[in-house]
Amino acid sequence: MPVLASTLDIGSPEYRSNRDALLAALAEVEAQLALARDGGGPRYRERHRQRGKLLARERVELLLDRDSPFLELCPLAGWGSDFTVGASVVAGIGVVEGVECVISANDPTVRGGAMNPYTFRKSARISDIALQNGLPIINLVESGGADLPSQAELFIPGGRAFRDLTRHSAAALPTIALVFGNSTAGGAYVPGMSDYIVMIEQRSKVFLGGPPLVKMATGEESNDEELGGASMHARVSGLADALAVDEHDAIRLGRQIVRRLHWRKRGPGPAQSPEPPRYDPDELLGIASADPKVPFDPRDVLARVVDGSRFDEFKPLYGSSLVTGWATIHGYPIGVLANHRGVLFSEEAHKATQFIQLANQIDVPLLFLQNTTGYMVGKEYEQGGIIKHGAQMINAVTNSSVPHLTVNIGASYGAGNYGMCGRAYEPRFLFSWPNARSAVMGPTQLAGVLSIVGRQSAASRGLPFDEEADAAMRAAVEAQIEAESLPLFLSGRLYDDGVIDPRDTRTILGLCLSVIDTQPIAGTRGYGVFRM
Amino acid sequence: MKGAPPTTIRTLLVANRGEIARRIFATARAMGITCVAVHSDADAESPHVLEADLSVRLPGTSPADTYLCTDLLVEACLASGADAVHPGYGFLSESADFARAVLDAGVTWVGPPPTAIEAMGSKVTAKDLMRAAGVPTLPSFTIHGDSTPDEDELAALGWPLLVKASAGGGGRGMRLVTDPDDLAAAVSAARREAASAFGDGTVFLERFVTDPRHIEVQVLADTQGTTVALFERECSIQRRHQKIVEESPSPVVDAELRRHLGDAAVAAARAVGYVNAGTVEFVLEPSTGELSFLEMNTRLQVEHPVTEAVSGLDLVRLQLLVAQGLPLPEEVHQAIAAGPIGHAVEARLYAEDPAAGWLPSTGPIHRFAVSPLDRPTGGDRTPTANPVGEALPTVRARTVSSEPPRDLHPAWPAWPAWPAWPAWPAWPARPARPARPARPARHFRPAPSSEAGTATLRVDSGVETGSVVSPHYDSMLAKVIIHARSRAEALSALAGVLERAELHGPTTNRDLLVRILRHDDVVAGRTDTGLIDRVGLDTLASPLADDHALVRHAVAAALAAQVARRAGATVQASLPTGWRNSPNGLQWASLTTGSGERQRRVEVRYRFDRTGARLAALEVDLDGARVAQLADDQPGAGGEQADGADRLDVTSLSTDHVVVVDASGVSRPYRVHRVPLDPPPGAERTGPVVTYVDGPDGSSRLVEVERFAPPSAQLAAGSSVSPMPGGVTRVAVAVGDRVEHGDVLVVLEAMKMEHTVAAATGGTVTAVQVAAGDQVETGQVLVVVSPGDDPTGDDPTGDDPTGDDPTGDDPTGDDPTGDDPAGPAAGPQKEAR
Repeated sequence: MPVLASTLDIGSPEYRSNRDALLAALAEVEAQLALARDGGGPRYRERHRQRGKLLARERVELLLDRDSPFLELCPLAGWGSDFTVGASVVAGIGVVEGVECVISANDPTVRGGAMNPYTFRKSARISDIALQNGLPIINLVESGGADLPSQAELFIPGGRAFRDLTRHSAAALPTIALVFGNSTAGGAYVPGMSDYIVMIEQRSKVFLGGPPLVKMATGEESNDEELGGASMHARVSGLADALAVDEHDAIRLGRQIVRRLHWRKRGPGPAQSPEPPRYDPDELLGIASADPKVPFDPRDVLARVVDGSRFDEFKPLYGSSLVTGWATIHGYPIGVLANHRGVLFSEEAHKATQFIQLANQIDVPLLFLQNTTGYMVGKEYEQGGIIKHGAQMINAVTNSSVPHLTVNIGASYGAGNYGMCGRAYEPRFLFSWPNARSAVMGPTQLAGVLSIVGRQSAASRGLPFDEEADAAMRAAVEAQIEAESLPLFLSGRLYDDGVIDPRDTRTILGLCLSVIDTQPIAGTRGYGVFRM
Repeated sequence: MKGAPPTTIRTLLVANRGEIARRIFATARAMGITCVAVHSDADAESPHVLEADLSVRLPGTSPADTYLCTDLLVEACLASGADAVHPGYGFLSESADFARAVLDAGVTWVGPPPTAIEAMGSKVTAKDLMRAAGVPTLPSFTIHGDSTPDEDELAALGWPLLVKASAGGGGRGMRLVTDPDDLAAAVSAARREAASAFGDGTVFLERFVTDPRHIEVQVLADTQGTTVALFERECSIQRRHQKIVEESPSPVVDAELRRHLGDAAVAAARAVGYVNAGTVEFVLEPSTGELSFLEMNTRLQVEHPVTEAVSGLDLVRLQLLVAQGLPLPEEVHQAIAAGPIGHAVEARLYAEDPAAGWLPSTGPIHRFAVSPLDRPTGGDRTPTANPVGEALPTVRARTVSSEPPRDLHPAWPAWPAWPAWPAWPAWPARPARPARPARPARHFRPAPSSEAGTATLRVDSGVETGSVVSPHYDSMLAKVIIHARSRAEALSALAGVLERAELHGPTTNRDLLVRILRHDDVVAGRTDTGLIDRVGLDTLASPLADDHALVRHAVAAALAAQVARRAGATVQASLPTGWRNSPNGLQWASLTTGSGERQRRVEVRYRFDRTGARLAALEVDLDGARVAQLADDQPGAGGEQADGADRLDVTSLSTDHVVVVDASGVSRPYRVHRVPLDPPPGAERTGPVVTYVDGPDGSSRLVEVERFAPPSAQLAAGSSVSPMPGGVTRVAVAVGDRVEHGDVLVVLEAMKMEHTVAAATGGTVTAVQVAAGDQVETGQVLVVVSPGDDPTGDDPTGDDPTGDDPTGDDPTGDDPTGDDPAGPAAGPQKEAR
């Protein structure tokens, strides 16, 4: 297979300034990740430790196979909201007893692990990932239940959490709950709906109503242990399947349960041995342009991501604004669609549609590297049927049933976001580089459009146009759109699964492809491949 | 025997085991003689058996049932068609009765006549004979019956006195008396001990020579009446009256003293009509230079290789020639005329823990590899992904360098007298026995295994990788011998070879040997039998690896384990190790070394960078204190800074070879050998792993502490709880009762059925919390049984997965009773012990 000849000049000033800009953006992201790791802050962490408890991340680390990777998902959920970054839950995909599992752990240092609307959205996303990829779920439970002040946004949709758990189970995907502390009221149904429940002596408390509520409801005098103690649930109610003596023991039991799942991956497996790229992935920092208006060659990215930097390009001479081709990542075969010069013309739409069909024909997952400003506008293109052709591409993406992975490496604007498998098109995983932007259109364009519309409106009504106000409006809109198209903002709203360090792209894609390989891959059938 | 007609030995039975059997076979095989091994049940798979042409089982394991059983051995001779018996050393080698039984069966005895054995077997008789023959002896007084010496006689002996058993040996029945008032008590104690140990209560008093030198002379006598002395050996370095380092020639014996010693030894041998190889032992009083006969060993000595080295003679060959009635060949006389050439030093490797009172150590040998002289640790890089017990291809000490040294030692060619080792024939490759396919036979050869520069290495071992050191026999693993031009070179080379040897399995005295060989007094030739006591075990038995080395070893072990885990990963194996997109915390490995009060605990925490190729963080704690961190650790990079901590980094990383670099730029390569032990019930799937790390700064044996403790008690240990709600109909025990596993404690009635609650463990009832008629709930504690003081309980040495067990490193494999906790049910009981 041909090896990509990367033309990146790592001695150039552009490389240097690109790299500096990306490192600065990464520092911002890392600061937010640090906040998320900090949970409820030093004071609450210390209090938690003094109770002899492990922190949520320590529980996760202990649960994982030693030295195995862990992909934390949606770590920035809740960014920009009133709630703590991370949304009081740690979630991700890790290897337990050789089994890739979705792991979710309440962070009790953040308001007692209470679930807020972002917790709910993050949990829903994690649940989707588990279901779509067919992974077991391990919940490390310690939560005071719903964040009551925000119950209005939470209570009604929140019921989905329990529905998801049992649907998961019905799909023959085991659900395991390790209960480290309180799991009360509605929260009691998280263990309640799980297939396997481990509780910890003197620690786990699982009940619908605590002593005060029981007293209010029925007048009965009771205590925590009688209502929901671990020992009671292990010996009397039978809600607990195993009784652990401490947190380590609970995690040990959790691992033991996973071992006995006799889990088998059902995917086709890697096609060949992994091979590192010939170019240093560290150089990925200098490829994406510091100036979003300057396009870059995605082949330079692929040369640092795919096995052996080997890439078989499909239709290289046709629709060259979109690069398509075949490669492997960590041995797993993949079809790549990567924007080159931003704009999608009819040719690019044709090419993408055909390529997506080819991948479905041979059951190979697809990787979308987004750097698009959208489909081409203008008389010539409208008359040439750009809507039909864009629709073909969106149709193909929508109805493609091979797994999709999407990484926004630059820009993702307009319908290009849809055609390049944006969030709404349910890629299995979607990550953003820190330099990436996504919005209906660029801030300047959007402000300009508003300005033109305003000017036309003034003209039609014969009113004078206030240039000063227009300039202020344009600046304000530009600033707002710029802020709203930033990865932290989008990641905070769960519009991606995380903002990633470009240098980790290959590792993350390899991990996701391994996860995807849990299930068989079945492309869409029905017609032969339409030659576009 | 004298003048007996020559007989031809065609089939030789070696009534012994271990290294001496292998060593004798090697010569016999070269002489075209069929080799017959005998073996106890414990030795059925031993190298000496696998290398023999024929082998005969001696049923049982105890020495008395096997290697000491004259009848069985004679039967074995007849059954195998052996026409000669070589007794080796130890066991029946100095039994006149055995020699007689062999001769009576019409079989040639490769050793002295029984009469000579008997004469030398009684120390009292021997002393009298020696005095008569003009051999210098220490003044002594024999105590017959109740006779006691009077004042004059005691004064003639001098103080202090040693009370010795006439039939004794190896220090047994020996008493040192410094105060005349203690004499009577010492005599009666020695008599009792001698009577029970040797069946002969005769004791004698002898002047005690303080810290003497132990010097012995090799003698050879043929049936034609030729008796010669083949130089001396010095065996002064002893522990508990057992030699551990021997050399030839002695640093204090000059040509004249050598002649004097030789004459005395020949006279001693002649006095008892000695034939074959023997050793006459003398003590040399350092202050006066006075020489006194001690005893004669009527057999081949353990330390004979040093004599072979400096004489160029094969003593076993000479024994076999003499036994066939042939005269001592001319080269013997030539060798004597030439005198000892160069200097040879032998060190005895024992499976024992000097620091723990010389406690013998047993168990499987996971690797036994003595590197050739010119190779670094480990010799060839043998892959280590071998499961425990599988024979590893680690015959590393067998390479013979054919290249003579060139420019390094220009004087070499001008040394014509340098003896070549006996030219051993090329070894025929013999296939493994079909019946024992697991372990291919490897042939021992007493030939030099490695030559480099001016030194020659010889390893006589009774074990190999995969052997098991059993508790039934002597714990000597091997003799390592260096022959060099000078004493200093021999000591230095031997220390180096021992230091680089990979000895994985039972604890050995290797570090002690190295420290002895490098001790100033030893290097200066100031050796005497009190050396070890004088210098002290605190110094001599301390590990060669100091704390800094231990920390580096732990880092190497932890990171090699990491490599092994990643290599064994079933998913995401090609992803970077421990990769995180939001790094949080460090990977953690806790390792222990040593046991009991000497146990050290090293915690290694680390994180690799996103590529998985370089460390991003490293923290090492030794016994709870930060002692090392990453060399280029920046403040705020995760690790707290510790003043004075070693700065380390790691390059070149694989499961069996790790290079740890100091911040000062010094790289140390480590050989890492991971031996998984059987997992205790409930532990992680992999079970505990013992890691042996060998490097230029010593060796460590590290046991990784499991991440998760085995399932621990969920109730007070030994609690019996009610399986269901019901009424108590009967309580069968009371506090203080002793119960066995399965004994009825309480009988319940529920749902018209009777349910018996039985003891889950043996022990003592410490609480009864119900009485007949009580209503009980599910899970209610009824009776508590404390297993703590149960004398019939589990073997206390058998279940320690952390390797605390000083007797070996395979607690589950070693335990012949197999009574490790057999399942989760046994967990709580074990916990409480």
